[in-house]
Amino acid sequence: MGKHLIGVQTKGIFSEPPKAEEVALIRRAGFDCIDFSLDAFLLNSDIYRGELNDFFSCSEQDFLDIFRPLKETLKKEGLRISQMHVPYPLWILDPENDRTEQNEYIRKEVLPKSFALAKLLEIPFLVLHSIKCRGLSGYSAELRKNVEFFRELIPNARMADTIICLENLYGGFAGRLTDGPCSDPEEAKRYLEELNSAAGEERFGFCLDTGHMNLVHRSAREFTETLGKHIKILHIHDNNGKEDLHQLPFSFRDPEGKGGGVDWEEWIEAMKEIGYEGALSFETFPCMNAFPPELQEAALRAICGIGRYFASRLGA
Amino acid sequence: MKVGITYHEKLNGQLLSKSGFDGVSVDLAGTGRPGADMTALAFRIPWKTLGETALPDNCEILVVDTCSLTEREEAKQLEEKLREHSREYALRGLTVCIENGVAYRSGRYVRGFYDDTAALTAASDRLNSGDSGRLFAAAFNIAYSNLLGQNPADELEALGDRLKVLYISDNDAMGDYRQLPYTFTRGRGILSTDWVGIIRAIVLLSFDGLLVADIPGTVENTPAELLPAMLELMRAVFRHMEDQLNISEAFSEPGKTLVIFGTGNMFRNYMRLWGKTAKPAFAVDNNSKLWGERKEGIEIRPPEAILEIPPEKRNVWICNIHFPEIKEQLKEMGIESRRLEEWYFVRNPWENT
Repeated sequence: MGKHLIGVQTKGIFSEPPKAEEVALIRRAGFDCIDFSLDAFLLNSDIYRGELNDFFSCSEQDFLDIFRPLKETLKKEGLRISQMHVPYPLWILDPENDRTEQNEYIRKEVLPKSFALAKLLEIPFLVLHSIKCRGLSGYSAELRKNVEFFRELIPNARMADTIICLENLYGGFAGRLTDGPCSDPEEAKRYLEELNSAAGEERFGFCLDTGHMNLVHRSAREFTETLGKHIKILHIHDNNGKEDLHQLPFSFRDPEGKGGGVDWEEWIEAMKEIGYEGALSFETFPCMNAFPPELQEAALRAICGIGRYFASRLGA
Repeated sequence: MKVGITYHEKLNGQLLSKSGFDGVSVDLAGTGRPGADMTALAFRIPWKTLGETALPDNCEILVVDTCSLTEREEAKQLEEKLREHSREYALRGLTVCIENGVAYRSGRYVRGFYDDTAALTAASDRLNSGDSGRLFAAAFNIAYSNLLGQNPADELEALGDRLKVLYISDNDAMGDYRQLPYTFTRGRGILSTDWVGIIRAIVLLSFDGLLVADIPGTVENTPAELLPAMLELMRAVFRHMEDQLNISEAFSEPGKTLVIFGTGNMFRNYMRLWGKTAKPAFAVDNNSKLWGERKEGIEIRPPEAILEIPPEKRNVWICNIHFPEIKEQLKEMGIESRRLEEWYFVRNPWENT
């Protein structure tokens, strides 16, 4: 048995507000911790469409009151929160529509409340997506915008005693997948060093997303050799190398041996080399949509089993 | 119904019995053969080697793999060969199933000669027309049907009782990946294969043949230590299918009182499908205006009426789309309940609206 905690994202499992039986289901399936999907309460598809709900519009106290019972339930079930995914995108550059009001709402309502919740639930790591605007304004401008944006959040992170984790993202252009912010580990390292230097302490880390890594055809070793201990948390999932499917590891096999799923053996070895000790957290919510409701617990058990396997390999 | 898995050298008898599989389907094209600790439920032979490869003594179901058979002349030759051997097959007590097949041309999967129900039905009817009786039947491979862009559910339903073996696996309709059902999706969880339709077809057919998890892709890709977890998930998928097949028995549990929650379209469908074989004692509804009335001949009462039945004698089914809320409501009342997954039993759920 490895020393790593095994976790799963709550998107697709938790309803609004989360119910005790949903927490119990995760525990029953064998998990030690959760990746709390705050992004499930304000969907990215709605943000892209400019149709934001009012979930974050209430007062901070009312907002936190929604989640206080969750804190108790998690404690009762003995589940920890290893990380939280904040709603995204955090800022949109849209040449056709004025998004100023929406961007300000996220900056002034969504983000402060996300950090307040992190403090309440004592969440050590928050995943925040970097801003994607390289297609319109160029790579350097995207870099500047992101650094400026994240620097502003340093006091919030300090107040919540949490670490902001940037994630390797992919982009899209003309119907195909392309590199996105932090999909290049060297670029991610630049961000982290500049932001941690600005913070004067380690307030920024990295969330390695295995599926996104596979989509832009990067190897795990490139990330671990470049980022090393900056890698704090994980989004573990698999895909066919073409679409961001967020499916069970080991699902995909290309009979012709080209492309296909994540090279898990290489990933295990790479993570071992940096002595990764963080949570093994799965971002596999499409399984919850795909399997019939009656099979969700069986699917979660299988996911947890994969986590235990990874833990045993990493701990060996 | 028996449940098996396509043989792979990573599998063993202990693993299979622990996961609840009855045995294996063996591909004779491969070199590996199961050990004595595994029951061979079926053998699958490529059409080209039929008559050349000796059939194992323990063969009860022979599946003829028709992949890459595309020409009428080839089909004629195959059927002649099957007729030639029919006496031998009959003496051995074999059931011979022709499987739907595809061909691979120019980097994609294209139609085979026996690629759909019409071709399989015609072939088994032709072959059974002489003295063969019911010797010849059909095997259906979901993977191939999906690769050809067919509606596998429609194909299955049309096969009727000719269907004896059903091979189950998932793909993206482009590559023959043979992976676990429900694991190929589009976007964020939209199924690539119509599993709801497939289960519905199995239920409507009252399928009683051999169900095979044809997932060598998943088995090959999964580390040996993880195989028990993956097989357990695969078996849970089959158990879910079996539950739907055996649902009539679940409605008629001996010594229990059947109560249906909900009196709308789903209730009407329930009564249409099972009203005669599993008549509810009464129905309940949250709408107080309906209390005391009768629908489909069944009295409608308030949910509290369920409490009059001793807990150990209750058999409560929710026939309503607001399942989670009603389940919660009943749970707060101390009442256990189950959900009728109507989509498995009604082809067009909107037909009553």
